[in-house]
Order: sequence, then structure tokens, then C-alpha cells
Amino acid sequence: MIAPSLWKVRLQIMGLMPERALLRLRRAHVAVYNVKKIKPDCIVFNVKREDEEKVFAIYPDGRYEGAGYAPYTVRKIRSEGLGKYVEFFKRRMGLFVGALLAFALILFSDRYVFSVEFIGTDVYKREALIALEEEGITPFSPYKNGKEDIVCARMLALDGVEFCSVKKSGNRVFVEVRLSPFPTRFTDKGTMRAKHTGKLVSLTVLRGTPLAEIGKEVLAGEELVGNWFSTQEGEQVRVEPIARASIACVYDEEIAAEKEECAFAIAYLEAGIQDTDGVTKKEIIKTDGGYRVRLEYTVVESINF
Amino acid sequence: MRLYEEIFKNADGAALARCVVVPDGGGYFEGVKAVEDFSPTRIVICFRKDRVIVEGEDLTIKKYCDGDLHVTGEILSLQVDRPTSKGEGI
Repeated sequence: MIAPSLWKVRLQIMGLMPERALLRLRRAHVAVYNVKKIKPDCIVFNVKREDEEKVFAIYPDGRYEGAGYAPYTVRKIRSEGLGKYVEFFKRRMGLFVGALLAFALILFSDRYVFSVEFIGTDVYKREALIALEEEGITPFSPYKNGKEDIVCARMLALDGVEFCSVKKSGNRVFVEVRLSPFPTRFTDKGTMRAKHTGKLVSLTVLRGTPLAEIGKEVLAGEELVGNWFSTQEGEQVRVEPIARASIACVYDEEIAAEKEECAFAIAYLEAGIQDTDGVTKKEIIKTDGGYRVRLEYTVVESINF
Repeated sequence: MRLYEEIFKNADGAALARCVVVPDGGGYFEGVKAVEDFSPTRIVICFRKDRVIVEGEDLTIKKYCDGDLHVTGEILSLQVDRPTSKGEGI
């Protein structure tokens, strides 16, 4: 409820000697304010909003009424004080309602996520989306605060990830992932075991304890280097072994193939020969079922080397 | 104000009309019956027995209600016009 004194209306009285019109208003206990005579037959003044009807009841707007002619004509010019602003808003109600609705929509929709965007590398895009989904952050859903650290921790646990951040800006979630420029090095802390069966040709141990003898036959799975070393006092200290071994292996199988080259390729693959391994001898003999392939090759195995 | 009531308690007509004028500050009139004439340079105020003619510059009726009249502007002269006697200047 607006205080009466804050809302006045500006009225105009026209007629002969309009200041005499104030007499009837005074008798009706209508207070007038800021009275000005703008023309010889016209004065303007303010009255309180609740007195406006009284004034128009005393001086209807210039029409013949009843038995006689009203000597003075009263007309409303405008509202004053707070009334001016109220009428301003009333005339532009649609504009303000629209602005309020737009503001409410922005305020309400700010809680939602409409898209997820990636900055930096998108190598782990799939993993990032899975992590976000598991924490409840998905497009067209309310954003959940406090889950950013959990997602970042999961991303940082991935291989090569050096930096990760999750931020919400407007209706979009930005995921920034940066990879380390250097390859990640993993160390094997266990005992070095032979992956192939053959004759140990050489064994180089930089850290650890050699368990196999050079020139002896070793089986696949046999321990070659132990992950400890003994001190002078006889204590065993656990270490990450660093060693490299060369094993001379033999592959001798009969392969069903139509051509010699095919038989060699099959044998090459079955033996698991890598690019770093060297084939020292190759013998392919044709048989009734195909070819008998004998390959002598040297494999190089290492641990943390 | 009680001071003025005390000073003018024996004055004739003090309860019927009162005029307070402040130089360059306008004036306040009590007991006003009607405003006979009104313009930015001249206002004629009717009391029960007398008429007061206020002359000045940029005269505006700030408030007029229930016999109280507040005039703003620069009041240069105030003249009491008594119908039964000659006009006396103040």
C-alpha cells in the first residue's frame, strides 16, 4: 500500500477567476498543493490521489448537468510522485512482464548443462564422458556441484594425463585435458623371468642378482634375475631389477602350407619373432604334409632396460 | 507556537487570522476564508474581517487546506485591507 502523501495527481481548472474554485475545494476539506496560475483563466494544482474523485465530484468535466452549467472545468494532467512511476509501469506492463520472464528463464536455466566441450586433447574423450556421466553430469540435466574433483582424479589416473580441469561456464561444461610431452615410464619391480625357452647366450645385469648361468638351457618362466641384492652383512635389499638377456631359441615344426614362403611366414609368426630379434639360421624342407621349418633365432629380453 | 500565543493573547482578532512572513522564504497564513485573486505577483487573501494583499515575485501557493495557506516566493509587500478603515501598509 503506497502512502497517500507519496501519490498526488496534477489537475487543471479552467474558468473565469479560477482561484475562486479553490473555495469550494477548501469547504470540502480538499488540500491543494503547488498551485500555479498559468493563464488568466487557468490554474494547475496537485491534490492527493484519494481526493481526486472529490474534485471531479465537485467540478465534473465541463458538461451541462442538472439544471445548470458547471462554471469550472477540471481536467487531470498527470500523476505526480510515485503515481507517475506506477502509471509508467502500467502502460508498459507487457514489456516488464516479458523482461521478468526472460530473467526468470535465465536464472532457472543457468542450473542446467546443455553441452560438454573439450579443450586440449580429446584422446580421452570417451573416458571423460563416462566419468562425467557416472557423476551425474550429462547434457540437458541439472549440473551437480562438487563433482569436478572426482572426475579430475579419474582422468589424472589415466596414462599420460598431466593436467585436467572441469569447469562450468554458462550452460556448458568445459573439460580440459593435457597430456605429458614425455612418455610414461613404468617399472617392473618383480623378478625377471624368461619368456622363451632356449640357451642363455648373454646376461647383463645392472641392478639385481643373476640367477641363471650363461650357456645353460633355460625354460620359459624360469627366473633369470632376482629383484634383490645381498649386502656385505648378508641382508637382502629389494630393488627394481635392470637387466637384459639374449636367448638362442629353436623353432622346428611341420607346417601345412602350399608354398615355402607361406610356411616360413607361419613359422615366423608362431615363433613370435620380433623386429629386434635376429634369425641366425633358416632351414625349410618340403614334406608330404607341407614343409618342415627349422628356425634358429636369438631373442633379446629385458626388464626396466 | 505558544510564544506567539502568549504575545498576542490580548490582541484583537488574533484567534481569527494570523500571518507569518519570512523574508525571501514566503509566508504562512491561518484563518483564510478564500483566495480572491491569484497571480505570480499578487495574491489577495480574504480573512473573516480583513483582506491581505501579498505582492512579490514568483508567488506560488504551496499548500491550501482548511484555512491554512502556505505561499512561497519572494514577498515584497504585505498590505492589510480592512473594509471599514483605510488600508494600512506593513
